[in-house]
Amino acid sequence: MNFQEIIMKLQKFWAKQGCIIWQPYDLEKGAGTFNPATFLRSLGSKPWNVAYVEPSRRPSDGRYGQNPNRLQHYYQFQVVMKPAPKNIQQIYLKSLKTIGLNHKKHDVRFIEDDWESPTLGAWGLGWEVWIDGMEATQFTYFQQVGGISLNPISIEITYGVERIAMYVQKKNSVYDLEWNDELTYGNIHLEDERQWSIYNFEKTSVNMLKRHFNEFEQEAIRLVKEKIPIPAYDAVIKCSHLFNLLDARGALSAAERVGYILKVRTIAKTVAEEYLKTIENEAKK
Amino acid sequence: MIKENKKTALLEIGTEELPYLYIKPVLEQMQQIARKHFNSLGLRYSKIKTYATPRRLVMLIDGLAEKSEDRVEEILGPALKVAKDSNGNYTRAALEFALKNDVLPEKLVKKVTERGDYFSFTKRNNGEKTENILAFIFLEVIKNLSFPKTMMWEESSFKFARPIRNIIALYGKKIIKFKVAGVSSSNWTIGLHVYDASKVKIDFPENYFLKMKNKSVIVDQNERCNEIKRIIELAVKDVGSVILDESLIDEVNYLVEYPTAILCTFDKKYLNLPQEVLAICMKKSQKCFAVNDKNGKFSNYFIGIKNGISSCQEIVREGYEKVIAARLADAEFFYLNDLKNGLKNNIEKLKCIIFHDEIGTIYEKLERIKQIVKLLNKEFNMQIDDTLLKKAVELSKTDLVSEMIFEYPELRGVMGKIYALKLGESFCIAESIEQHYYPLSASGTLPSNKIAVLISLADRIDTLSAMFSIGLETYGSADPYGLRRIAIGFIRIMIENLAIANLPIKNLSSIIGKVFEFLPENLKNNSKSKNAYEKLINFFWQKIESIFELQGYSYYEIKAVVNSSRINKSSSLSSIKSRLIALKNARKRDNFLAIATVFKRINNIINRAKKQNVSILEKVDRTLLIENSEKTLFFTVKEAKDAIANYVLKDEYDKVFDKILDIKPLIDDFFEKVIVMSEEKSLKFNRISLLNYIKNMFDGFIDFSALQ
Repeated sequence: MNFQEIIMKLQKFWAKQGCIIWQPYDLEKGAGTFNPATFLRSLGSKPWNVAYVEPSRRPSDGRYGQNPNRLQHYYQFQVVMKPAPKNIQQIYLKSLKTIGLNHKKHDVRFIEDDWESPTLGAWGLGWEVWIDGMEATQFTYFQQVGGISLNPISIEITYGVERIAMYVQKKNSVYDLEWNDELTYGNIHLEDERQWSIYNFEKTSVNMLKRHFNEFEQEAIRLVKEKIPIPAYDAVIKCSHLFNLLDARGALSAAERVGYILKVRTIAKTVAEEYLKTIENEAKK
Repeated sequence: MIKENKKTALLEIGTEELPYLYIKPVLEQMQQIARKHFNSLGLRYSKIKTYATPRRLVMLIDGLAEKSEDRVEEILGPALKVAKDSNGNYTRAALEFALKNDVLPEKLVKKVTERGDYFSFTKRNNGEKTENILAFIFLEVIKNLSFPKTMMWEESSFKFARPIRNIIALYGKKIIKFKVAGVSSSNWTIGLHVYDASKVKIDFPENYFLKMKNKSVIVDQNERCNEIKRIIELAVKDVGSVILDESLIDEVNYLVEYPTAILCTFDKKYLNLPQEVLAICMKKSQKCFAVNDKNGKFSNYFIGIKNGISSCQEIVREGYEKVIAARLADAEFFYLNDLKNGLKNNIEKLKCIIFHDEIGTIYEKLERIKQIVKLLNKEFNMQIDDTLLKKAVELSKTDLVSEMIFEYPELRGVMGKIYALKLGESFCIAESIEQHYYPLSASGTLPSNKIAVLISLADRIDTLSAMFSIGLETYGSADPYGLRRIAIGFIRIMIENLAIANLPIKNLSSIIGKVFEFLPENLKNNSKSKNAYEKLINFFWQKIESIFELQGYSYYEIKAVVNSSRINKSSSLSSIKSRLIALKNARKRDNFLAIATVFKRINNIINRAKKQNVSILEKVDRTLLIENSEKTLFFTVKEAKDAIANYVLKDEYDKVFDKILDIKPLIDDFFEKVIVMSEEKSLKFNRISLLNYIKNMFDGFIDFSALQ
């Protein structure tokens, strides 16, 4: 099964479970959780079922295309269901079957892994799912997002698509993955990895990043005051990525680092609070 | 006698995978909660047993009676005098009491108590059917388990470690009905869910275990643990022997419901990596067991434990091997990079590692440690070459910024040693890097390497003085920075190194005082640093007490010795230890209690005299000694004093106690024949001075008043 088939099969599977198939959000972000389809929509009481691919950027994980397992840009397949179905573990196991991993033939294990995103003020309890020892999926019952306790509780399932594909296709390097029957993952992304690693580690303009961070932080605060939390949230996503770039560049001292995380968390929180207010007001109308 | 009917009850809380560390403590709690309720409700049982897998918490109650015991209870009502009026009619108080308890007022009887006469009546509580009580008890168990972290997952917002998905509640064949967290109790469960998630019906508790085993679940954790050990042995018997790690067995035991051992291999080229690295890759990342070959050498075999029956082993093995290979490739990459980078290049990088926001970086800490070890080297007369010492300090924490430690922080120190050796440092320096973290726990091994001794002491005292200077001393049981462990390690190292332990404690205190001088200016002159030194010294005394308590000395023995040490300027840590030994021996003597009592009496007299502003003189006026027994006492004590001082100097405390025993009859004689509180003031004062003279003899040696 090639890389794009895996994604298509997952989409088809989760669409059948009643999830809408969302598309990637058009901003740089570290994980599918940052997509408003997860962060904002997990707030409030309305049911919400969604699945989507999320291209995710982790500047510090870049290895100039030389490490077979680590990438600064990779794909997550994200599922969020609110409220979490009672048989969600079974549904997940079935999803593995559709991508060629029959759970009866493998050692599938749910290993405790409590998830926390300090920048999003979010945490949840759950597991890392191991398939024959390989970490294939993050499985989390969200408890708080933006510092707000959730009710109902959403389940977030995040597949590491490259890892799963490497396992299914028996490849030792991510770059050897068959994207379709002609092109490999390396054909498509190897040069990207090389250039972005150079950029992330060596060529970013620290002053510009810091300036942009400050500007977007102010923007988030301003837009919350204007009571338009959805655009304000874009500014939060921007800040988070700018922080990741600064971090990868080694431009932050440990104390500064803590300060930046706190700043992102603070605006994420105010945005979440404002968003919740808006949807509650709407519900009253 | 009627034969009582008994049945077995079963509770299974079926959950999604529980964190393995949560399970053991909860099994204990289930027993406690159930026992408490069975007892208070008078429900008899023969045994409560608890079991667990990652997906179920199970309680089995054997021999549970069919109903709770009948109970007779006497209920006390209003006092007789307010219960009837002057005409002998029941008052409102009596009528209300009767009404409330559903009895006729005529049924109330007189009850004579210490506080007067009351109305009372005897209430008979008939036992209740077990099946009616059991739901309550099961619910209490489920609701009152406590976990380090809990979560919500359904609309009732019930909190538990992970979602509850099914509950078996049976008393014999009968389902005990209740509902919690949106789950209704039933008589079904599921087996190994990753294999088969269909319902399994349990007809009665006794066949639960067998039915589960048929569905690939070994419910009993002890049975499962033995099975794991058995299959591991079986799997390795042809290639060597497993390196058995009990903590890993324990973890794996609660990660599987049914274990299958799979023998795997990795590429031999990775055997070039240090064993410590190989072991942690397998254990931490993959929960796999390392294997020694037949010659006892670390081999390229390892054992993975699969959850479930032994089908499809080939597929799973391939997966395990692939994952381990990736981990080892990563580790090798880190290892080679770290070696290429060297340790010295890391010194500068420590400027970026914050030790504590207010205290500064690790680099700055090391600069202080350099000054402290130099001071300690001199004060303790360790005669270690200062340049060597400086180098050891500089390298001591360089592994913290290595790639390996970033991935496996628990290898700190261990990697430092390995890298130092590989990079051509002397064994002594390499060893000091690893050992400067010793002792790793309150009772852990102490450093044997002399340089490590100094660095460990310096590191610890630097942390403590800095933390106390920003007001982070510990209160109560909370100790987020582990200051207790750090302080206990500090004291233990000193006690076990005679060159240090023999020094007067006052010298040690003054060294600690000097350490405060090395702290950065912002720590020295802030409001929180007030009294930091005194607080730290007190903290150390408390830790000294707890160390000796752990060594088996009683609280009072320790107090008696420590109190005196705190006023005796020349007392040393060694002398505390030898005095404790001597005191413990002395307490075994028949007349020890009598001695202690006499000295307490002397203390009391002196304290009372002090309160009355009697001026107690250092010297006894011989001309005022008129009675024979006080003369004898004075001259004997005068002679003994020198001898005792001499024994104390030589740490011969047993002999001191011998001397005290010699003097004891003379003191008794004195108290019998001489009136201390004489009418004649000068005599009285002189006698009190004599007692004080005796007391002084033992000050700084033992505080008798602390003994019970």
